Order: sequence, then structure tokens, then C-alpha cells
Amino acid sequence: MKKTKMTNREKRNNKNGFLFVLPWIIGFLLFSLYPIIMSAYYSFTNFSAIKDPEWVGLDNYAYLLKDNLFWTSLKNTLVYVALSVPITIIVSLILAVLLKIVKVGKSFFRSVFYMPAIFPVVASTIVWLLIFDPISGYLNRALRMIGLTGENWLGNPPYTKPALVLMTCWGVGTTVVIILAAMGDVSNELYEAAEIDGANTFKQFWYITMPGIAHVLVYQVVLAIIDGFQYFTQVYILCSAQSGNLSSGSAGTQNSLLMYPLYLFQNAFTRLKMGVASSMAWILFIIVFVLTLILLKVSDRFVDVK
Amino acid sequence: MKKKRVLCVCLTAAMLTGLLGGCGSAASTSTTSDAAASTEAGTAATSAAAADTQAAESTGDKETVNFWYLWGGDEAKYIEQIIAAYNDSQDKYEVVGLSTPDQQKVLTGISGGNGPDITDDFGSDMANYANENIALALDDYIAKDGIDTSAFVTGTLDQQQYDGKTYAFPISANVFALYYNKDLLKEAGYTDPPKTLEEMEEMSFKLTKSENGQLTQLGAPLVPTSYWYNSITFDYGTDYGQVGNLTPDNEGFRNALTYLHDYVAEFGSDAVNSYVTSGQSKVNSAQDPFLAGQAAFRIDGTWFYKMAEDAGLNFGLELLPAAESQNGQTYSYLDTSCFYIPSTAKNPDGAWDFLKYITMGDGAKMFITLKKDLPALNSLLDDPDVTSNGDSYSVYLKVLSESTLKTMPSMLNGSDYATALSNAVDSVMLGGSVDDAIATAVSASDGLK
Amino acid sequence: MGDKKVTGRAGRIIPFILITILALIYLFPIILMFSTSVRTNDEVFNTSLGLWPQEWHFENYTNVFNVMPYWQYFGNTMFVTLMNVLGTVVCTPLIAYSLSKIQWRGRNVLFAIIMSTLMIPYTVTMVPMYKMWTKVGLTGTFWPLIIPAFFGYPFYIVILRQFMLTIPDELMEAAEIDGANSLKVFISVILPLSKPGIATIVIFSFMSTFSDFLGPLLYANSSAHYTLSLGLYSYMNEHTVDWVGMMAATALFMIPIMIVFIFCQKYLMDGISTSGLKG
Repeated sequence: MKKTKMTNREKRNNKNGFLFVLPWIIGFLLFSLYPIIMSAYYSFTNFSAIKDPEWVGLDNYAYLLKDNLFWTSLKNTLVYVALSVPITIIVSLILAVLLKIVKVGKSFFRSVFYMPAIFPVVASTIVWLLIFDPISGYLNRALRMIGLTGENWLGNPPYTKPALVLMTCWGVGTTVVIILAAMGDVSNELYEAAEIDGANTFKQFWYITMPGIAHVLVYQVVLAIIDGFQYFTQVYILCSAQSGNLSSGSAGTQNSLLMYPLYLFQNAFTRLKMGVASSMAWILFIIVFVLTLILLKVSDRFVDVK
Repeated sequence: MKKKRVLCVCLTAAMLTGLLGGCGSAASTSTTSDAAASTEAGTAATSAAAADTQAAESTGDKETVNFWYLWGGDEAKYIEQIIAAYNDSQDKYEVVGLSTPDQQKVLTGISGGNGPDITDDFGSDMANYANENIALALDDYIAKDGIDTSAFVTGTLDQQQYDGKTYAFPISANVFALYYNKDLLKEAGYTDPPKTLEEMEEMSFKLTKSENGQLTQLGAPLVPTSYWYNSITFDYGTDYGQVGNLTPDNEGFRNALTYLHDYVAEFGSDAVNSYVTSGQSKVNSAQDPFLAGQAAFRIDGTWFYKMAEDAGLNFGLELLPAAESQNGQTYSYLDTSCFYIPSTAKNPDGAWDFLKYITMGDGAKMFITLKKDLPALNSLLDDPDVTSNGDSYSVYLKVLSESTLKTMPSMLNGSDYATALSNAVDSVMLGGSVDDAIATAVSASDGLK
Repeated sequence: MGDKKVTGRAGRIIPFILITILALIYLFPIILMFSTSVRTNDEVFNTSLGLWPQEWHFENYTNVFNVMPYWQYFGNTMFVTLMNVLGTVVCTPLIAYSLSKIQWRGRNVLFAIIMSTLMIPYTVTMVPMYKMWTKVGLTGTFWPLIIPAFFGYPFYIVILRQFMLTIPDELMEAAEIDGANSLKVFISVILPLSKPGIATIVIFSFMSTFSDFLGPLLYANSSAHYTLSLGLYSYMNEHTVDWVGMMAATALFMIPIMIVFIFCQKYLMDGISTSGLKG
């Protein structure tokens, strides 16, 4: 009697559970799985939005391997990711720690650090353009006041990526708040015990806080990597501001602002090579996938995932 | 409690509607053939147009021709005047104009099947549009109406032709001339503009000022970045070659790079590059180096004249002086603005009628006199209403009639080639050698089509 | 590090000074935007004038309305944004409920798939999605920007699922004993208790749609469908760059977002702190 009831309930649960997630499953099939499969198919074809796909085998991939701009864009994005991921995480950590320590005006400061995260990217990029101007920008002006010469941030290839990372650091608000929240979850008793053992603040941070928030950090690193590989709008805006004319396809001095998604976008919608763009998409997908897997595997060893 | 239940029922209902809507569109994706899909696109476009505030309700029984143009602001008003004149001139079609300043948007509209019936672009893009089946070949229309294309100024139709077919008609010719700041020249002891290209280069060194490792006055015409080196390249009578024989290692380009190399060696790579980067992001604004009175020379098109006038500058305008080796023969870099009919146009016949009006008929003259662009029609070159367009105009008309006009090669990989050239310029700007820059450009342009 | 004790006066003052400096740096671009928006174009790059404007040119703001159809763009933006919020609110809670509170076969597999879709870069699906919307004739309309929201974005599902996991099962069981079925439990127990979590995803969805750039860039073909992001961007495509106008437009763009932020700040912060964003 009781057993059959359970089974009925299980049946009902199976039915309802599935029914409730059905919208997502449909959405997944339509907006994730279908595009991914099609993207793979398109990557072996020659097509534009007007022309129908025509099978060309591995031609698009072969084309990319020989394409200088493809390698430039891949290099640019890898450099950007390699710089931005650790730096933004460290900056977020520092801000979170400061928010944790400082008691006066806590919610004010928290809002200040969070605010840029809600700033529309189009708007913030234009503001940063004013700040980075090599001749009259505020950043160089500040640097000159302290005796430095200043740099051509967005015009000299070695400095473009650090400049972009600086912009990204300004928008880390969400990460800061999340890390702060995670810090709040670390049990106070651990700190008290450490205090009794005479551990200093730094030691407490390293041995109690860090392990306590490690799982959150891993998640944030993964998100930062994915965001890094998708970095598009900022460079799109900067490039059109610098060239004054989108059709020139210019992407900063010696293409130093040509990020991978920007080149993918150009291939798809400006150069009208959607097949090539799809190949680029798949290469990106594989890179992100492999990197994330490696990261999760490695972190499994060190991080006690709750 | 009850309220919440009602709310939830509503939410669920809304969700179901969303679901069904989603399923509906999904079903149509999988079942319709491409042909059917394009009719659908048509319907959707119509409904989109109905939502548009500029909807074609006022058209009565005239057929609508959708015309998107890249111009905005005052220029858009001129275009609307031409459209109004066209609509009054005949009873068959009603042209509806839309200012769409982003080329990208026009392309996405066209490929989405709900774009314009006619639109404008630069001649340099037409080879690609032809190859990608974005633009409609006009040959049938030309043959049917017996159009004589020799009415266009020699050279201006070249870019609109690809593989033996014509895909667009030019509306205006963009040629380039040299602006100079009279006050700055005077201050440096020059009473006259340069007579030769070499003299201009020499003067540009003396006209450059720097302070604490930063330029405060730009002598060389390095802003905007895209015009100067092409103009110098062509000024030596050389060009970038044609598909199959691309020549980034031509004498003119080498000379342009050598000039930049010497300039950078004199004033410092950082200083020059910073000034150019900064100037480039302010091009044509109040802070544009030339408009702010901080640059001696400027190579630019007709549109710049009014800006310079409005900035209250004491400036002059001349043909870009010939290189010594050319014995007084001048050259100009030519680009055209043109009109084409997209392959997805819903009313190509109406578009063709309007295309004839605006490129060869009364519209062409209106366009040139209102917008003060340079005509691509021979008949307009000595039209009194055109020649009376003002001082600047006579200089540019002289360029059109006296200078040899040169275009970038009409090619599919035009943007790759342009990138290879601008990369060479960038590398010299950053302190690299001319030989290395050219060698890189040669290898990057290898195999481009 | 503990909440209780930070050693010494220096230990309190130094962090305070540091955080104040950092806060000023973070505020700077926002202040710069407002400061530039009330200047004349000639003053924009004259940094020696400092941040405080000499004269306040508020006419820059009224000019924005002359240069671009601000209200139309604002209306378009709000329409797309509110529809996205609606879609998210309508469908995410049920999905999250099923994934957190109902035991059913395949649930864990499905959740793993949802987590892994978080890893798909937007650029990967961009071209086929574009092609798909083109085929059904919806490019150039708002629908490609709206419809997907009604099927649940994985990011929001994950947030809300984690939030719902924190609701004690006992509350549900009590309702079930009273004979309520899954849907009833959802409506009477889970939904009311999930308000903070739902508020979080509402705000996230509002913010991200409101300022989205790539989506409208791809799908809005004419200025009749432009959103504020695109309107602002089209300032840069004109022949001349009007910096002060652009900054005034930027400020006008920011104001709705800042209002939402100020009103929802507490919800947002609490939501992030309690919800599954922490991984």
C-alpha cells in the first residue's frame, strides 16, 4: 500500500519535474544545441546570409591557419585573458577584503565599487576613451604630475592590453560582492580559534579565508575566462572611435585591438564569410571548453568543493 | 492568497503563450523551404514596416520603394529633398527614405531579407557585394533602357564593375586635395604653399613643434590616417597593382613610408604616434588637430572645406603638388559613392527607376548642388549651377579634370589588402624600418584575390 | 580578518584610507561623464580646467532630444527589457523549482547540461542564430531579443536553483501532507519564499538587457528598432564627433539604470549574498 503510493508519487514527480523544465529543454534545443550543431556544419561550408551553404570540407580551417589576422586576433585575446583573469580576480579580492575590514561607510563603498558593473559598456568605453587620450587624457595627466611620461595607451600595441585590463578592473563589482558574500560565510569560530593561536591577519587570510572561499574563486575564474574570450563590445566601440569609419576594418595600431570575437564578427557580418566565422566559433568553443575542463580538474585537487 | 493564485495562472498562461509562439516559429523553421522562408520574411518585414513610424500608409496606390542611406544630419535633409522631388515627379512609385548611418545595419537588413530596395555605399565595397550576391547586376536594366554609361566621368564606374557586369552607378566622386594653414606657414616664414610634393615634405619638418617630448604642432598630414599615404603613393605615378599582381612594394608607397620614417626619426616614435592616435579619435570634431589650428597640412575631401570654414581658420586649398619626378602631372586617390539595388529588393523595378533619377537624372544635379559633392557625370562638370558651388569646388573640379585619378584595386580581399598596407604604416610609425614594413606587406598580400 | 578584532589603530586607519582612494578612482569615470556632459566642446580635452565645469551648459541635455529620438529609443529599450524580465520571471522559477525541490529521474543530468551551457560563448551560437532568425523572417524586429528569455537563461536558472535549495524541505512537506500537489506547493510555498532570489534575477535581467549592445547591433535594422545602446553608438558614426552631446546622451542613458540600482540596491546585494552566485 505504502509502496505503491511512493511509486505513484515518484511517477508524478518524474512527470512534473520534467514538465516544469520543459521550457528550458525546448529553449536548449532551439537556442543552444541547434545553433552549435549548425555552427559545426557551417564551419565546413562557404556561405553568407544570402548564399546557401556550400560544402567546402576543411577549407575554412585551412584558410584560417594561413590567415595572419586570425593568429593576431587569437594572440590578442590570449594575452588579454592571461592578463585580465588573474588581475581582475586579485583586484576583486583586494576590494572585498577592504570592504570586509572597513566598518565605516560600508554600504556606501560597496555601492561605489559595484556601480561601474551596471554602467552600460557603450557609455563606459566612451568615457575611458577620454581618460586614455595620450595627449590630453586624465590618466597621462595624472602620470605626468607624479613625474612619469605617460603612454599612448590605446595606440601603442604593448600598452593596449594593459589599458583594456584596467577598464575591466573598473567593472569587477559583481565579483567583489560575490567574494564578499562568500567571506561572510566563513565561520567566525575558525577566526576566533586562530586568534587564540596567535595567527596574524595575513596568516588568517591565507589559511582560513582563502580555503573558505576557494570554491567561489574557482567559479569566478571560470566566468572570467569565458568573459575574457567573449570580450567584444569595448574593442568594437574603441575601433570605430579611432578609425572614424567602420568600413575601413581598422582595429587599432597594427591590429592590437583586434580581439578574437571582433574578428569573428567582422568575418561574419562585414567580410561576409560566415563559414569562416563559424570555423572561428568552433575553434573558440574548443579552446574555452578545454581550458575550463583543465581548470576544474586542477582545482578539484586543491579545492574542497562544498 | 487568492490574488497570488490569479497571478500565477496569468503567469502560467503567459508562459504557455510564449511556449506556443516559440514552437510555432520552430515548426516553421523546420518545415519551410528557403523560398517559403523568404515570403515569410517579406510578411514580417511588412509588419515591421507597419510598426515603423515612417510607415508607407500615405503612399496611396503608388508602389513603395524603400531607400536607406548612410548619410545623417543635414546631409540626410538634402536626400529627403531629392526624394520629395522624385515622388512629385511621377505617379508610379513612392520612395520612402531612412537614414541608417551604419553600413553594418544596411548589410544585416539586406541579408535578413527586410532591407532596402535601394541603398548607397562606397565603390570600393562593390566587388565583394557582387561576389556575395548582395548587389543586383544592372546589365539587364541597362540594356532594356539603352543607358549610355559613358555619361559617367572616366574611372568612376570602374569600381562598380565586377566580372564584366555592372552592379552600381556612381553618384559622386571623392578626390583629395591639400589644405594648409596659412597662419602656421607664415609663422614659419613661408608665403606660398609647396610647389612639389618634396617641398611639402621638407616644409612639414619645419612646421612641426615639440615640447617636453610631445608634439604641440603637427607638420605632416598624418591625420586622418587613411588618406595621406595613398595620396603620396599615387602622386609618384605608382599604384598598388591589380589582383594577381599586387604591388605594395611600389616606389610611391616606399617613398611615403620613407617620409614617415624620417619624420618619426626626427620627432620620436612615441611623440608622433601619440599625437596621431589622439588626433584620429577627434577627426572632424572641434579638437581635430587641423581644425584646432595645430596642424599645418591636411589631405582631405570636399566635405572638409565647410568644417575648416566653420572653425574660422585662415587656410588655403590646392591640388596635392606633383612629385618632382612627375614633371607637374598631378594625381589623386579616387573613391566613389554609389547606389546599388540589393539582391533581396522587393521592388527592384521601382528601385531602378529611382536609381536612374538620382544618378543620371535631375536627382544627380540636386544631389551635387545641395550636398556640394563632386559629380560623377560628365554633363555636370561644366554645368554653371555646379561650378558656382564655391571656391573649394573649383579646386576639386580641377583635380577631376586635370589629375590622373587612381583607385584602390577592385578586389574581394580589399579589406585584407588595406589592412596589410596600414600595418606597414603602423610598423614604421612605431620605429620599424621601411624595408621590413614593405617585406611584411608583400608577404601579407600574397595570394589575396 | 575575523569580524571581531582588527589590531591597532593603524590597522583601522590604513584600510580606510586605502578604500577611500580606491573609491575615488572608481568614481572618477562617472564624475568625468557628468562633468563633460555640461561643458562646451572646446573644453572637453582641456584637462587643465579640472573636473568642476566653469559654466554649466545644461542645454547639452536638451540638445540630445533634438539629435536623436531619445524617447523612441528609450521606449524600444524598455519594451525589450521589460519583455525579457517578464520572460525570465515567468519561466525561471518553475525550472529552478523542478531542479531544486522535485526528485525526478534525469534531474542531475539536466542540471549538468545547464551548467555546461554556461560555458558556451555567445559568439559560437551567433551566426547560426542569426541565420535562424533570418529564416523565420524575424531579423529587424524585437523578437530575437525577447523570445529566448521565455525559455530560461541558464545563468538565472542556476542562481535561482541555488537560492531555492536553501528553503527547508519541511515547509514543502507540511503543504504536501495537506494534499497540495507540486504546482500548489510551488505557488503557495516556494514562490513567496523565493522573492529575494527572484528579485535578484529580475534586476540582473533588467540591467543586462537594458545595456545590451551586441544583440540590438545584430537584430535591429532600422532606427525604428534602435535601443539606447545603439543610439549612443550611432553618435560615433556621424561625420563629426560631438563629445559633450555624447556624454549628455550617456548620462541620460545612465539615469534609468541608476534609479533602478538605487531602489533595488538592497535586494540586489542581499540576493547576490544569499543566492547561488557563490558557486
